[in-house]
Amino acid sequence: MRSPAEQIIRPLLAAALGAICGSLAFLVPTLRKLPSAPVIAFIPRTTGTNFTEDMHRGAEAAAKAAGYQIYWNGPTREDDLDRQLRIAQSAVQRGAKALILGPTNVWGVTTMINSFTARRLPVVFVQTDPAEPAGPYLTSVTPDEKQFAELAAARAAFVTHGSGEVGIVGIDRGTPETLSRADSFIRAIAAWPRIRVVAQKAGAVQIMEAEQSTRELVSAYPRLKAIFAVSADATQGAMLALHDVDTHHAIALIGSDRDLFLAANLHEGRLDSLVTSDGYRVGYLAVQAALIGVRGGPLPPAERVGVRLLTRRNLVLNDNH
Amino acid sequence: MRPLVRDLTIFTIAAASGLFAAGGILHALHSPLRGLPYHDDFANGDASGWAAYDGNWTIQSGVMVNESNERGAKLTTGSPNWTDYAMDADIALSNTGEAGIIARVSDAEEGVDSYSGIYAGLRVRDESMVVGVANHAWNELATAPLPQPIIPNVWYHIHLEIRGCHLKALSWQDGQKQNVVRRDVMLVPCPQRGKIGLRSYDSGGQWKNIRVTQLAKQTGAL
Repeated sequence: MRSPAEQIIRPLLAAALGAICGSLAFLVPTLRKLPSAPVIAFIPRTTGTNFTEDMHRGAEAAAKAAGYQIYWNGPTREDDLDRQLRIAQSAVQRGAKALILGPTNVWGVTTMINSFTARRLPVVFVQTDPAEPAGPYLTSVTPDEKQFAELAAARAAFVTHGSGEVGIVGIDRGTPETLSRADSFIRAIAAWPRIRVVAQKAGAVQIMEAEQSTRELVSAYPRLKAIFAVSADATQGAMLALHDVDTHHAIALIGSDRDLFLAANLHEGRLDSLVTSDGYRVGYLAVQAALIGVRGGPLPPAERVGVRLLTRRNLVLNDNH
Repeated sequence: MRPLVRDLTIFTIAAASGLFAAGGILHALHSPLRGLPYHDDFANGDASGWAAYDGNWTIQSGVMVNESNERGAKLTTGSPNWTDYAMDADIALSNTGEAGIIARVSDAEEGVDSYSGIYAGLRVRDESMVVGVANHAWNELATAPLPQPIIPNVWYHIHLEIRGCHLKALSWQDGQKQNVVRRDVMLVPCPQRGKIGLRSYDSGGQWKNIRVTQLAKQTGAL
């Protein structure tokens, strides 16, 4: 004989259990996640510029061909090191098989990169070379900075007819390619002894800072014939300053890298020329290098990607073809 | 009735009820109508319903202000299940960059184009209205030159309608609706559903009178 309590509790338990099972039968399939392709994280200094979007397209093409996905993200400011570290660490924690990084500050990411390579995570630098020497888990795919500066120097010689004062703006110690561009430019321009580099202006990757240093440069050297801006932001800043202080376009601005409107500015004549590398190729090769590491092989040695000089004339030719 | 048969019957009925109840609750929670129409005039200074991804957002006298010139700062709100809707906002820019609204936003995180969704905004650089789609990358779909240069700190109205994969974006300077610019875009595939948001690029910005209204499903052209 069952007790009255048991006669009440059992149906109640059956009802509760039934309700839970019924709810779970509905909810569990909705919570199930489909398996997805393995991921390579690509974290440039920032995103949304022509150069970085070209890299993105190249990376997507290489990853798709290999059955991988690209996780693409970057800080909203090119100098936001903390945020870049956070984005990269989060991507790796979520299971990225390799990291491709355009460091906001090459010295600031060293600790993080060392911890990744110690865990045998392949890391490929783009945009600038790493502070540490390349190894089995660390390599780089970057523009040929020496060729970059040589093209800029040759253009400066052309626009100044081989004599006069030129200046450099946008040098930032956190982004070594700006230093190497400036150094290589000075070495290359020595081939024209009547050209004098009168100033090398420092500046973080901030447009307003480059604008201010360009104003100071033009004010200090009124006979300036050309300016070499060593980054995209420095180019933007220099262009803003020259728009105000060089209304007769007496100073030729030789810019670096492709950003949102620089090609249009070149077309309009606000820029004399632009030295740029093939972002698509950088992105493609970086993913190919990362895939070698993901598959267990040592990463290939650092690779240099060729650069070219865009002028208004060859931009028109490119547009027409 | 034998106790075992009775308990099994109760279990079956309860399981079926649980199944339907869970389905009903989930359906109600995921309804594209939930929370619509939506309006925020930031009158009480309360931004608790909004989530910021980058930027420096504050409410000042009924206006949401982003004082940061980061590329791609975002502020989102609403339901992830909103589908066909129209979004309206008043926007004022500074003298550089761009600012606008985003719709059908999902998968948002810190970063420049780090969301899936549709953007419509005003851009100082080429004095135009811009329409584009982001999927953790940027794809510009259309631009419409404004009849006059954008005046800093002057209010512009922006209206974005999304029905299926048809987008309609309109903009005009406050008080000058006769000078409206408009772009219609068919985007296939397109983001299917998502929240709304405010976004600025390379500039701060100001937003007020945010409204979202449900659109009836239709076929054919807008």
